[in-house]
Amino acid sequence: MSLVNTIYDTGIYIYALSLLFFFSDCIRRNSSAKRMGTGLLIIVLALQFTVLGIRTWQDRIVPFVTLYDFLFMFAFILVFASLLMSFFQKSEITILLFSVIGFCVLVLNHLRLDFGNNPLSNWQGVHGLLVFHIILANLSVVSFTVAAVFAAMYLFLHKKLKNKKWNDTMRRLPSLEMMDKWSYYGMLIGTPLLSMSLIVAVLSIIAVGRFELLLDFKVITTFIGLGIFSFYFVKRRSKQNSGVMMSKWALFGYVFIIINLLLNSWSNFHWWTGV
Amino acid sequence: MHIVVVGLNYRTAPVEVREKFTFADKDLPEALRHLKLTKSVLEGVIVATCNRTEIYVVVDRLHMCGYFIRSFMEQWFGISREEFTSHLYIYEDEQAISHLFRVTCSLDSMVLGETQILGQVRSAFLQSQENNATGVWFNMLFKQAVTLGKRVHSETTIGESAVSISYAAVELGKRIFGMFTDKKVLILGAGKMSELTVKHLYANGADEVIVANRTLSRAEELALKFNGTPCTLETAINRLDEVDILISSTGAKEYVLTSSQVKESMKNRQSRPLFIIDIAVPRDIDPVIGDLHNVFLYDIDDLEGIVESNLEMRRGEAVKIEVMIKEEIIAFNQWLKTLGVRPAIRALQEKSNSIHEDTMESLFNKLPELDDHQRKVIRRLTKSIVNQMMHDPINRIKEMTGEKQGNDALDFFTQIFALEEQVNEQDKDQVVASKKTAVTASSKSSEIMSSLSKASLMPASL
Repeated sequence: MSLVNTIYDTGIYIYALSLLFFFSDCIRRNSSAKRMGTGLLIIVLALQFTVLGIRTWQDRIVPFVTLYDFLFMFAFILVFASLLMSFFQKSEITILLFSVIGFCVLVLNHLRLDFGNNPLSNWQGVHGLLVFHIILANLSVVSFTVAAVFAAMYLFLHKKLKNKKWNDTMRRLPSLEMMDKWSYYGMLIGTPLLSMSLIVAVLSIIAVGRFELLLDFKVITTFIGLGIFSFYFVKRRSKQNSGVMMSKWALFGYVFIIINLLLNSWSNFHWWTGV
Repeated sequence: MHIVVVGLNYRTAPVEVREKFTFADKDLPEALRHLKLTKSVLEGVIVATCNRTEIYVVVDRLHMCGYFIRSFMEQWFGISREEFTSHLYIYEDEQAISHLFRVTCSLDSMVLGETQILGQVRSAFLQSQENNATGVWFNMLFKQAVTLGKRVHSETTIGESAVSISYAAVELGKRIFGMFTDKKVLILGAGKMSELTVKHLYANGADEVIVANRTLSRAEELALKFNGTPCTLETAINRLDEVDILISSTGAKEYVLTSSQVKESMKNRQSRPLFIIDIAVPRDIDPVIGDLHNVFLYDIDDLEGIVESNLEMRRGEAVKIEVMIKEEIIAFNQWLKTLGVRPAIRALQEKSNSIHEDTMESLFNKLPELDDHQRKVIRRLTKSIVNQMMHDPINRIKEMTGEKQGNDALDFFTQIFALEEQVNEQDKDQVVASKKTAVTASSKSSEIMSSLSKASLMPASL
C-alpha cells in the first residue's frame, strides 16, 4: 500500500499546486495560470486513476465500499467534472470552487481515514445491490455538489447585481439564468439518483430480512434529505419562487445531505469509518 | 538609419484641422509614392484614421527629416506649414517605435482598448507593402506591432468591458440573462439613448421589441427599425408581465412606472427576472422598484458607475501592456542589431570566397597537370576548410551583436577581418538601391503631381 500512499500524496501536492494556479487566475486574469492549472488537474486525474487501478488490481474489486473509498471516488469525479468545465467559457470560478471542495475532501480523507476493511462482509447475499447503492449515492452527492456550487454563485452574483457593486469577478461568472439552470440540472440528476440509491438500499435490507434497520436514524434522515430535494421541485414547479429562493433551497438540501453523510455515529450499520 | 513618425491626432489637433489632413483610400498609393520620393526617406507607411494622421518613415539621417516630411505634407495637402506645424508631433527611433506599439495596442486611442485601430494600422501597412513603400525595417516593425496588438487583446482584458452607457446596459443584461434570444424588450419613450441601447440589445439577439411613446407616430418610426410593435405608454405598462428588459427614457416629470404597477405584473411573471434600465433624467422609474424580488433596476448614475469602473479596469490593463511594449522594443532593437551584422557577414563571406577563388586559380596555374576531377575535389575540400573556419566566428558575432556591447563587438569583428571597405560599399549600395526604385517612379510621379491640382488630390468628401 506504500506505493498507493505515495501516489495519493503526490496527487494531493499536485492538486494543491493546480489550485494555486486557478486561484491566481481568479484573483487576476491569467490565461497561462489557467492552462497550467488545467494541465496539473489532468495529472491529478491520472494519478487518482492509477490509485484506483492499483487498488482494483490488488483487491480484485473496484474500491468504493468504505467511506474512504467513497470520498476518494467523490473527489475523483469532481476532478473529472472540473476538467469538463474547463471546456466552457467563464468557468474559472466554478472550477476553483469544485477544486477547493475536491481538494479538501481528498486531504481530510487522507488525514482522518484509511482504506479499512470491507464493511459489506456481513452483507454477502446482497453485496451487488449495496455496491450499486453506494455508486448511485456517490453520483448523487456529486450532482448535488454541482447544484450547490452553482446555487452559491447565483446568490453571490444576485447580491452583487442588486447592490450594484460592479467588478471583474462578476464578468467572469456565468449569467444568473445559466447558473439557475445548471443548479436545477444538478438537482434534477441528483434527486433521482439518490432516490434509486435509497430504493436499492431498502431492497437489500428487505432481502436479508433485517427490517429493524429501516428505522435506523441515518436511513430516516436520508429520506428527510430526499424530501427536501423533492420539495425543491414542488416549489420550482409552482414558478412563484425567485431564483434566490431556489438557490437557498438547493444549498440547504446540500448542507443537510453532507452532514448526514458524515455523521455515521447516528447509524447502527453505516459504520464505514474505514478506521 | 532611423525610424521617425510625424503626425497629428485628436489630442494635438481639433477636428477642423484633422479633417484637412486625411488621405482618401484611392489617393494613398500616390501619396506613398510621393512620400518615398521625399529626400532622405527610405521606407514609409501612412496611417490615416478619423482620429489621427501619422506618417511613419525610415530615413537615412535624422537631420532635416522633420523639415522634409513637413514639406511633403505641405505639398500634398496644399496647406502652408505654419498652419499645421504647431499641431504636429515628431518621435524618433525608440520613441517612434514605442508610439507605434502604443497605437496598435490602442493605448493612444480616444477610447482606451478599442480594437478598430489595430485593423487600420494593419491595412495601412499592407497598402504600403503593396506599393513597395516598405522595406526590411518596416516589414519587421509593423508585423511585430500588429502581432503585439493581437496578443494584447487576447492576453489582457483591455477590450472586454463596456465603456459606453448603452454597452454597459447590454453587459449588465448579459449577467442576468446570458443571451438575449427569446427576450422581449420594452422601450418607454423613443429617445436617442434608448434607441442606441435597444439597437445593441437587438444586435445581440433580442427577440422582440415593443416601443411605447406618448406620440404613437414616433413609436411607429422607431418600431419599424427593429421590426417591433408600437404602442402607447398605457398599453405598454399593461404588457409589463410579457417583457424581460425595460428601457425607459421618456422625459416625464413624474414617475412613469410605480412600485404597485411592477408588483402587480411580477405576479404574472412566474419567477422570470425583470431588468429595468432607467436612463431618463429626471428618473422615470420609482427607485423603490429596485427592492422588489427578481427586479434589477439601474439608473443612469449606476450605468455611469459601471463605465467608470470598467475604464479603471482598462487603465489597470494598460499598465500591463506598457510592460509588454517595453519587452517588444527590446526585441526589435535586438533584431536591428542582428540586422547590422548581416552586411559584415556577407562581406566576410565574399572576402573569403574571393581569397579562395584567387588561391585556386593560382594553384591550378602552378599544377596544370591536374585533371578536372582532381581540381573539383581540391576545390571542394579547400572550400570546406574555409567554411568551417568561418562557421564559428559568424555564429559568435550573431550572438554578440544581440548583447549589450553589440556595436563594439561588430566594430571589432569588422576591424579584425578588415571588412570596413566592403561593409561601407554594401551600405552605399543599399541606399542607392532603395533610392533607385523611387527615382524610377519619380519622373512619372512628378508629372502626375504637377498635372493634378491639390484639390483633386484631397479626399472627395472635403
